[in-house]
Amino acid sequence: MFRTLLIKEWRERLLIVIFGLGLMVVLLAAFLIFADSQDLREVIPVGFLIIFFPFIALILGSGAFEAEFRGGSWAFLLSRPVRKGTIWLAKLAALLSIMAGFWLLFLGLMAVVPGIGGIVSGFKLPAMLQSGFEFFPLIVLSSFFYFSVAFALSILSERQISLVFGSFFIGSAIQALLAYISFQAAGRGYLTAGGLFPWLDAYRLALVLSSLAFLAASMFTFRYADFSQPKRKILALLKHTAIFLALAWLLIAAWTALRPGLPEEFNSGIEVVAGKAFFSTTRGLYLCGGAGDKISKLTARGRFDVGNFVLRGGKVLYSGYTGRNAEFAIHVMNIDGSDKRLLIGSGPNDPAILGWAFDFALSPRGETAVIHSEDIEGSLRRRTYKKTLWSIQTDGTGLKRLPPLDPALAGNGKEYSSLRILAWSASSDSLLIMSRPREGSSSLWTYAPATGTQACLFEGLRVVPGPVSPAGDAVIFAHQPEVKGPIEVFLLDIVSREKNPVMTVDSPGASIWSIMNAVWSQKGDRVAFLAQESRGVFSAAIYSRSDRRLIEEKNLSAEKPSPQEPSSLNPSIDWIDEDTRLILGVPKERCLKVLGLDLAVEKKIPVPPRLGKEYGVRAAGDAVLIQDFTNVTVWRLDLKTDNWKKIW
Amino acid sequence: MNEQLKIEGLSKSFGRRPVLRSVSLKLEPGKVYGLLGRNGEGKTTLIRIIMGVIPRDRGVVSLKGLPVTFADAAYKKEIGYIPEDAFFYGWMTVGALLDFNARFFPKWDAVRAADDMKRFELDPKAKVRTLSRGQQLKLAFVVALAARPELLLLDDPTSGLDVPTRRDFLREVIRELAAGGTAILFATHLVHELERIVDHLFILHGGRIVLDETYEKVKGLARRVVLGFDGEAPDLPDLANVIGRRAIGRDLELIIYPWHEEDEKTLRALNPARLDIESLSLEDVFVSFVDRPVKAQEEVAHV
Repeated sequence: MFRTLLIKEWRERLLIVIFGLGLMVVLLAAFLIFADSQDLREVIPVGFLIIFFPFIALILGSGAFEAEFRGGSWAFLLSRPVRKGTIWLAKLAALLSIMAGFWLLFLGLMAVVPGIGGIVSGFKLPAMLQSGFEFFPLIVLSSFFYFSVAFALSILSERQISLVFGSFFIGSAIQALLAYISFQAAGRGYLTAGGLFPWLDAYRLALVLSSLAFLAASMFTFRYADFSQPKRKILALLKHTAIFLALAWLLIAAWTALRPGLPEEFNSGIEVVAGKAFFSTTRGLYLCGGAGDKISKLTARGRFDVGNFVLRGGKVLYSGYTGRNAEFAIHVMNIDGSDKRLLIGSGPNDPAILGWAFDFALSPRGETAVIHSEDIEGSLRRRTYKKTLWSIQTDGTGLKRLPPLDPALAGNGKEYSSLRILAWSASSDSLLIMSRPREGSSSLWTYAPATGTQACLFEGLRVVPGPVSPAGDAVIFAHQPEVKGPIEVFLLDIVSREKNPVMTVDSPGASIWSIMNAVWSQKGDRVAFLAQESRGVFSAAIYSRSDRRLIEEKNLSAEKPSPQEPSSLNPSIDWIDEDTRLILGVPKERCLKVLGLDLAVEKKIPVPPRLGKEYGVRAAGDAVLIQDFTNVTVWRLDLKTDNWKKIW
Repeated sequence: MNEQLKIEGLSKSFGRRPVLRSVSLKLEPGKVYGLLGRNGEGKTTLIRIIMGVIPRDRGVVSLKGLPVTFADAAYKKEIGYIPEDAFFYGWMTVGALLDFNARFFPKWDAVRAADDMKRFELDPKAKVRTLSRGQQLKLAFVVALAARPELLLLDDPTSGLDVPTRRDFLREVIRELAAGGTAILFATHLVHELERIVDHLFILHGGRIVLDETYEKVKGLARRVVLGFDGEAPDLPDLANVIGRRAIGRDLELIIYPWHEEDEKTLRALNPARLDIESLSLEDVFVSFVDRPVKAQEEVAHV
């Protein structure tokens, strides 16, 4: 009986099928005819998708029952010895199969006709919505939703035109509402598993479940309602739709609340202060206790995506996203994790700091924080960038705007510029700021928070700063005065403003980014660094601050350097044994090397097989922490026993 | 438990308007039942409820002793249903419509369908929408009869039919079916349709069955009485069975149902100058029942 009904339903839609096939032929013809017009070629298949499928869904859905009422055949159909559920199911199956047939046909066209597939899958909505926005499946879901609404409503009327328009308006309104609610509920931050569009998952689920709710409402209405009474029919459909939509939306709300977030991932490198290592992940900030291999989480339980953190004066200042909407906030706590305090939130509670505020510094004694915020306003073409510095006491009081930044430092606000606080120098009580106020200019500045005094220490074409000395009074940086020219490395004394050359790399294969990897000794008297002349060819060097020159330099390249070697296999270096030795990580050779102060290899330590291909070293007290970039794990090597242990 | 169909306490309202109020009736196999009622009295509603096309508010519908619900479907295999208006799919051919129906009815008799097609002069290749009203009705009969129903429900099917079709075809088919043991419920507002074919009569009025009696009894027990008085008419004795009363000049016309022999004595005791007693046509009985206010009839419903 189901088959009989199915065939009857198919037969009744013959005209629609022919009409749809005709439109597909027209699409194909138009696409091939306008092959020379790039604009039309792109518009035709996308426009077809946007218009044809919702339209055919509305036509098919609204015709489900209305024809039976219009032709008076509903009494005939209902008086056959077949269950109402079977009739309903046959209608649904027939109509959905026709929809699916059109989809498959279009997919076939995409596969067969070169160009259509590429245009559709590559179709991008405006820039704000680009990556991750899968247009194609969304149209499928959207038309399924339109279909379900029309299918349900078709029980109510025998006027198909009204049904098509009614379903279109109701369907569009609900879709807009669902998109808005999904956006609000699932959030737009980084804490959910939906990538750049966490709300899209919720929206997709909402579309599917709401479609099913409309279909279920239609089934219950069809099975139990009195078709001879329009009012009762409407009330029954309203009642069932309300019940099933409520159920669907509850499920979506539950799913949104319970879905797991992103897997925990490393955010940035490991910072070491007094032999203790700190690192941040998408879940929080962790402390690794140096000699011990215990890892403790410093941030509060729950989701907390740490964006950035600085350690100074016994305090940790850290920013991150919390809550479902990934509200941005800056917190402070003691270095042992105690006395956590919210300093700045970007929510309505803290309107003072607007826009982005990822960049900040702590004063040497940890009592004051300086935060750099950016307001980006206006449209894509006429944006203004406004950079502001704020200061706040780490007890949460005294939020104030610092004197404005010089345009030479902060840019003119019309074109893109960048600014980064590198350190807070103790001796000069000023901030060291790296700035790119405009294209083709980089500079290093000092800025005194107390007075607003600003001074440019160095300006050049391309400047890449390295680490600041432990006391915050000197910085090592690389400068490339000409594009593709030699790279000069300097050490800049922030207090005296004295600039000393460290070395110059004049090699066509060298990049300004592959020079540094610099590490200060704990006392701050020497800097060890690696300079890469070309892929796989690198040397280690030690600069003495007191001697104002390189005291050692040694080529440590592999025996057969390969120019194709990926930069991810770059080596890394750090001081160990109280600045008497160096540890060198060489991923290419799958080992760590202990170097003496003469840079001679004293010992070679093979890495465990389970350690990933790409890794970097960071000394922490008597141990070396090895950050495995491939597997996103952290290993600990005990330098006394040479024991390896995976600690995170 | 010989009933083919039994309905007890069936009620149905459209909005706040009650259409059926506690309707009860029984149909036995091989008999033809007339369901009389004016337009809009709920005949179609009653039949649609039996067919499970619309739900009922209250009451029990049983087929061969088994109660059926709105959700049930299997029982419809035993029922032929011929509605007031053609309700087939216009795009189907007559042949395709028969094939379509055949799949739903296990007892489908294709030979009989083919015979009936010839008998009623229907072209299997014709599209349903091209058939005349009479042809569509004939097609409905072909469909209903090929399923070999044990119960046939006719919902006022004769309006728009030409006289020969109505008179001969309908009577012939219905009688033939009843002879085969099918119970038939023939709903109509045209009383003369039922003359000579019904065994039993129901009159539906005001949402209730106001008459439930065999045709013979109705014919035998209904009287029109005209009382003529020379002077002032005396007060009439309280006769419970007077269902209609009308003054014509000095004469008084009474419709009495059911008529008892002693009623004549009672009326003669009034010393009328004239007393005419005559049998009533079915139409007069029907009109008398449905012209009266609803409340006055309640006690006359069953005799």
